[in-house]
Amino acid sequence: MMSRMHRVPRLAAATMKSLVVMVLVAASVTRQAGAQAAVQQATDLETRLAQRLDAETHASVMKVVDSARVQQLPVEPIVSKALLGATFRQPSAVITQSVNVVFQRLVASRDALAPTPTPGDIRAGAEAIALGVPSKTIRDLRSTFPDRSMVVPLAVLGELVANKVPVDRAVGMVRELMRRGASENQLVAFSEKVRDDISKGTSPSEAIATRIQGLIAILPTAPAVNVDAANVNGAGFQNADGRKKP
Amino acid sequence: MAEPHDELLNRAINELRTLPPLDQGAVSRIVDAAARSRDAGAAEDLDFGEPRRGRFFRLPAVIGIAVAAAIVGFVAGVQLLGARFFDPTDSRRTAVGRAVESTLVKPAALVPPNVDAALTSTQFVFKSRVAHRVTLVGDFNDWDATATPMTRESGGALWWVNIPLSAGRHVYAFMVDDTLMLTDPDAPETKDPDFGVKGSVVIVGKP
Repeated sequence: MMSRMHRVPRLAAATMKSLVVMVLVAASVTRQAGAQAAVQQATDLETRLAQRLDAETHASVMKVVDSARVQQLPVEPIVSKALLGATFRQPSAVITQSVNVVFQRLVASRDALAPTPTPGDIRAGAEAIALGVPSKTIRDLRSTFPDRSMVVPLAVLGELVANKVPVDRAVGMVRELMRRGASENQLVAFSEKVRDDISKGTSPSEAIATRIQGLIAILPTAPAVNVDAANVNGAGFQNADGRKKP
Repeated sequence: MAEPHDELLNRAINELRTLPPLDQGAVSRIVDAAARSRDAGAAEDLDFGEPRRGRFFRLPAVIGIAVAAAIVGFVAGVQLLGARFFDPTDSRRTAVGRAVESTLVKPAALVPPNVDAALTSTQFVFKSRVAHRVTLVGDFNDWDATATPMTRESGGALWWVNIPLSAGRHVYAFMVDDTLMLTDPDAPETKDPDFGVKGSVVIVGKP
């Protein structure tokens, strides 16, 4: 009897030991595979650049890529910019200058989205900055939604600004929609409709005012309203029940 | 009636029946040895410390390994199958004349738990009756005119291709007959802020 009772903790101990061993082996294999993938990725990137750029441009772009790697920034936007320049036969100096500008935007985006932005967040922030969204606006938006992916909201914000919607209005709209729980696809659809209206001759302010009313009508009421949301509502937006916000 | 040899025999038997004097030392040694043996057995049962060589493959250890393997297998299976068959984000959008998107999800075990991991299959369409070859170029394929050739609808003017795109804003264009780069008339146009070249924009949402 005593012997059987003693087998239970022995079984548990053996299970724990086996689990620990298996987890350690799995972690080791995963880490090794990750390191190999990183090396392979770096080699592929070098090859992609070397095939399309002359030696001088390649060397200068790789310096920027290496700097980005040191700072743990995504390098794809830098590579893409260099290859876009190569496609359109831009001079080496112009390509080098452009990739340096992209690098600076990535740094600014990373800082604005601190403390834990994803590579996608950083890339989206850098694109938004390139389209005219100030870093401070990105920082404010991040502080309002510290745990939410910023990839699509920043893409939509950048596109609105690129379509000549004033930055304050655009960020107020995006923030209000996010606060009301609009999905990523609803944000994209909103951006597309505003853009279509503008392309048909509607003024950006009128287009955004019309389209946000339609979207807000199907979204739940925001849990809280701040100054920016009040600015949004000052333009005449209404709640789903038709009442104008105070 | 007893015979004379019986008397002799009885005397021998009585002599043999006389016990030798008791060796108390020997008794003590036997009792001590039994006690030590019993104590050692009990201690072995209570010993959960470092196993001695050769004990690892005893029955509890084998069962323990099997249980651990089952747990690891179950967790891995849930991760892989769950991502593939039960992902609630698998949505499909269809639209005529615009980018058509559907969601591709990488197996969870192969990517970090990052919402950016999901890719959306996006369809690009270009209209031309006179083109002989159309390819899609953009920031998703290094602007490489050989990377993404488009397929012509049989006997028609529509060229199409589906590619998986990550969420966010993408810039693209169509390369016609390897020489002419055109923007998408059905999509918004943008100008690259650094080179000034024109492209079309697609914003891919998340499922």
